[in-house]
Amino acid sequence: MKIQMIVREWLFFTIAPCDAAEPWQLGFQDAATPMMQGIIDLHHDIFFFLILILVFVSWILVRALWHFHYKKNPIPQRIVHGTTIEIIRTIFPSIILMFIAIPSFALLYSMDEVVVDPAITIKAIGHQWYRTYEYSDYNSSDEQSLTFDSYMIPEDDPELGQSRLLEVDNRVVVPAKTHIRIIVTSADVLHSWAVPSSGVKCDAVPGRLNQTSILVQREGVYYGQCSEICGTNHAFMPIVVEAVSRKDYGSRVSNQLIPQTGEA
Amino acid sequence: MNQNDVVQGDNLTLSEVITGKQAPDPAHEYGTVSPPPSSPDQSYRNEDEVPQPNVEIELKTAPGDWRFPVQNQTRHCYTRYLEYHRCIKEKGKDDPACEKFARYYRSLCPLEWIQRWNEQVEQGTFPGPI
Ligand SMILES: [Cu+2]
Repeated sequence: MKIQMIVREWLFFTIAPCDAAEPWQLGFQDAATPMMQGIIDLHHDIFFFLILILVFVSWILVRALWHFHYKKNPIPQRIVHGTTIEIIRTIFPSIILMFIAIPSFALLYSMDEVVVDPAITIKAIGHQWYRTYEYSDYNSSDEQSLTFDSYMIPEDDPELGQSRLLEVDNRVVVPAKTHIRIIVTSADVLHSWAVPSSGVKCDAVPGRLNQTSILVQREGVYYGQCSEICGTNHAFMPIVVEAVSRKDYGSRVSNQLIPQTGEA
Repeated sequence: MNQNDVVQGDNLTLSEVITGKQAPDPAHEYGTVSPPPSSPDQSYRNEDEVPQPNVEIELKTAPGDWRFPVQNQTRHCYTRYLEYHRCIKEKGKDDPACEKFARYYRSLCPLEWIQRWNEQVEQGTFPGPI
C-alpha cells in the first residue's frame, strides 16, 4: 500500500519545481545559465562514450566467461604476446580520451573566464549558519550599503508551496540576462555557495575573495545549499536566487535603498 | 441572539446557515477592478504598490582588471583600496578622480574588511603601502 502510494505520488502528484531538487531526482535540474547548459552537454557527450565502453567491455567479459569456462574449455590456449592487439588497445582508448578531454577542457576554461564587464557585483558572505549578501555598487559612502542576512525558513514554519530546508527569508535578487559577478567569501569557516541550476559551486574561504560569474537566462527562483561541511547547521543554510527582469531589479534595489538613506 | 452565533457581523445567524435557511456570506466582498495604468511604463505589479519617484539604478560595477584575471580577487579588492588612498593622498580628499576607486573597492571588498581597514588608516596602523 505504502509503496503504491509513493509510486502514485511520484508519477502524478509530484510538484516539480524545476529549479530545486525534487524527490527521487536522478538527472540535472534545468539549466538557467549557459554554464550549466555546457555542463549538461558535456555530461551527455561523455555518456555517449561511457555507454559505448560499457557495452563493449561487458560483451568481452561475458564472452570470455562463456567460452573459457573450465568445463567447456579445460585446456586454455596460452597466448603470451600479440603486437597488433597491443597497439590497437593502446591507441584506441587514447583517441577516446582525447574526444572526452577536448570538450572538457574547453568547458573548464570557459567557466574560468573572467567576465570583462559585469553589470553588477554581489558579495555572498557565509556565516555559521546563514548568509549575508552585500550589494555595494550603489554606495556613496563606506557606511551605507544594501546588506541583508538570509536565513532559512525554520522547518515548522514554511507556508504551503515552500520547499522544506530550501526556502530563505531574504532571497538574492538578481537581474536576468545580465552578467553578474559574485564574490564569495566567508566570515568564519569554509562554506560553499552552490546553485545547481546555474552551474555554480564556489567555496567560501575566510580571508579570500572568490569570484564567479553567472548569466541567468530566464527569470525564476533557483535553489541551492551550502556545499562545504561547516558545522552543525550546515544543512540549514540554503541559497535562493531570484532572477527578475532588469526593470524589476532596478525598482527592488531603489526601494531598498531609499528607506535606508531616509533613515540615515 | 447569541454573540458567538453571528456570522461575519451581518444579521445572519450560524444556526440559520447550518439548517440551510440562509446562504452563508461570501468569504470576502467582491472587489472592483481598478482601471489599467495610463502609460505602459507606469505599470506596477501590485495595485497597492505606491508609484515610486522613478529612481534609475545604473547597472555599473568595478570592471574586470587585467592584473587579476583569476578566480581569486582578494588582491583586486585590496589594490583598489590602496589606489584610492594613494589617490586622495596625492590629489586631496575630494578629488573626483579618486571617486571611481572608492566605488570599485566598495563593490569588491566585504564591508567588514573596509571598516577594519578604515579604522587602521585612522589610527595610522594600516600595514599597506599607502
Ligand atoms: Cu555553510
